[in-house]
Amino acid sequence: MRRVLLRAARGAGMGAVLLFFGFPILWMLLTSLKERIYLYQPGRWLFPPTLDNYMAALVKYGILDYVRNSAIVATGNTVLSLAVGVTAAYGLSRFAFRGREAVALGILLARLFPTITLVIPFFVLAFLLRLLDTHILLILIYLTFNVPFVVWAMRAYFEDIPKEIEEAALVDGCTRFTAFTRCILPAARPGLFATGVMCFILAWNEFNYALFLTSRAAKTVPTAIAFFRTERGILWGEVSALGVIAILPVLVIAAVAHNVLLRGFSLEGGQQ
Amino acid sequence: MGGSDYEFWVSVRRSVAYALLVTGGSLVLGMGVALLLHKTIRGRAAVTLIVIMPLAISHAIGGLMWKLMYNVEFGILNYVLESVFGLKVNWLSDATALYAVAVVGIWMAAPFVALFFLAGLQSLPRAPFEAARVEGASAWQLFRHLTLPMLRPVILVVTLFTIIDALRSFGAIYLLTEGGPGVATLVLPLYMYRVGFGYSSVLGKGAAIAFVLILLTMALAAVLVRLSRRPREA
Repeated sequence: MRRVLLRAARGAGMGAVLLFFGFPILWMLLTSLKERIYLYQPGRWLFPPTLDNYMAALVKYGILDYVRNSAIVATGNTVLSLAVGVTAAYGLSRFAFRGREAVALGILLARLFPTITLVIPFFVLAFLLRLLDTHILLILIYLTFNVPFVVWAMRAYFEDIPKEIEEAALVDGCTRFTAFTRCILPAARPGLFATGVMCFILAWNEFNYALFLTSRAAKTVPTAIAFFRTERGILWGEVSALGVIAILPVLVIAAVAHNVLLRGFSLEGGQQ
Repeated sequence: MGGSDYEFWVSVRRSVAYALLVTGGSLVLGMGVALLLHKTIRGRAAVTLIVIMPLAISHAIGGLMWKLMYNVEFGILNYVLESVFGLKVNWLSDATALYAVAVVGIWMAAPFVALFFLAGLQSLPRAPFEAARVEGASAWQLFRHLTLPMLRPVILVVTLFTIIDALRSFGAIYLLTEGGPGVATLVLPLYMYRVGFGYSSVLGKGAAIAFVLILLTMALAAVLVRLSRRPREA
């Protein structure tokens, strides 16, 4: 009896969770398929779907170019952030040296600034370096918020992994580096997945820098929202279509990363 | 000067209230979701993907979607309320706007918390749990005395970043209410935007507000960092 109740409670909890997190996205999908007249009839679940909003987003506003730019920037930035941040996190978690906490805090400091305050200095720098409106500029600037995040998140995960694991590996003839890549990184896979996906998402959705530092060649998806807030009001259908187009690549990346990094992980039941 | 000083202190209070609501709500909800997902084996990948969705959407677009759902006349929330209870709520009015905005903040932040807690739960060693279970520990005791202490580093880092991002959040609130009605949702970044980039732009004062915001964040970060470093140093 108690078992049944517990199972029912868990089912209800799961249902509530899926409703809260999933419904707004479902609503966005439905809105994107509605003609304008159906927008003002929220209770109408059955309506003739239209792809007009997607056609407008793709053809009239050329959203695919934005998606391509976002993909280049977010991928490049995630790879670079992980390469820099994960190694730094390992150093900060495993080696005791003077000023270690100061270094960690200094890295975090970069992330405390509201991005809107840094737009102007970055604009001047980019202008002097002739990097305005390029992918590489956004890839580099996004390091300012993603590297601190990777360092602090991965450091916490590394500290959860017992030191004995790599000590055993060192005794067995591994170098520091191979102990890191063969023993520590695999043990930290769930954290690596969560951190990598988060980096990609933050870079994919960044708005302020992208808006001010790009003009044509490197404009990213979030900046396209400006098209759809008009003086006549918000174009709900088109905005929703943009939202669906913008979310798809992220979900694909998350699913692929999940498969690559976490396949079979639940079966192993965590580290032994 | 007196009038705008009043607005400044209001916005400090709004920021603190918003950050507390979002951080508290996200931590509790995120931990609940992570525990649920940790126990679920079948369909976990699919559920995880649905839970991650609010993270995957840009704050601007997510904010607009909630604005559509909150709409008094043609929003889905009021449609459901009206057909079930026969009443309509003006969600973004003076009295409820801050909470309505905080719900959106939680919707966007809780998946991040859940994702990281789940990753933490998955890499915990199993042996202590099995030992405690053999000793007859209850599920609550396991959670309170094993899970929470062992997740401590991850919990503190996640709390740190949730607070930082709650204090910095701008896009969703801007699109939902622009800080209004009046000053109901005027958190510091929006006050800064009003002062620095509004129609009577005072860039210097905007920068000063940004500096106050950074100090506030640093103070909170310092407390959390101290908490997170203490047990390791001892």
